[in-house]
Amino acid sequence: MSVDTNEESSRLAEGLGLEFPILSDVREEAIRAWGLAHEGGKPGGGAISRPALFLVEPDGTISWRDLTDNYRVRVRPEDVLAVLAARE
Amino acid sequence: MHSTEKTVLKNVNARMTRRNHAAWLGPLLTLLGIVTYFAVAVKFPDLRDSAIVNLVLVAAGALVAFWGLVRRRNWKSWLGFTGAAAFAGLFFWYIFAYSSQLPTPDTAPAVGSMAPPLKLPDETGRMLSLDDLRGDRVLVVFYRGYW
Repeated sequence: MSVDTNEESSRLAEGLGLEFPILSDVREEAIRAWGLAHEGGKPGGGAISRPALFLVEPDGTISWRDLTDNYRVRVRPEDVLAVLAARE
Repeated sequence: MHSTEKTVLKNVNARMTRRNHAAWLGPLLTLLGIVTYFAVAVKFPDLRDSAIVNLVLVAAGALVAFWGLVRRRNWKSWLGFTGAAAFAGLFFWYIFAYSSQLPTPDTAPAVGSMAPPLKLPDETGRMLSLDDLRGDRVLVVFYRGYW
């Protein structure tokens, strides 16, 4: 999810052929509730989300997270898959 | 005679200036290093994370422009060096400082805690809540977005 509009997310999903839902947080509610708001990160002054991943277990607890401290450097898909595989 | 000498000198000068390729090759190399970072390197995690190839290209461009300035000091070589140094400075600043200017995630939910509520419309406008997915393991990915 991001602060992009539905239309933008829709274009992204189509362009990349994504099959999972892409949530749209244009009012910046979720990024604040999750403590991820990067104030003024958007040109023009709005908040955006810092890059972050959370694995939520069936009972609602968080069992793994990744909060990069440099937005250029992101967790790699194979590392996330390994985290998931270890819990299967 | 005097004017012929002047013309000859002018031609020699012009040729020497033309030969100082470093004045424009330097900034060009620097720009190439920056453009290929965002156009190519970001698609390959190893090249993206360290940015080493692009840092070398950008630094090499600044060095070439500096060499051009050492060889011949005229407005072209000064312009080339100033441009290359400015591009290189910006890129190094972006890589080593700007991209890590993120707020501290003190209030982000910790491992072991309950996930905060999450109820938002998806890309088709349909409301989706994390509560609806109870019983499944869910990977929640927050990204900066494309605005």
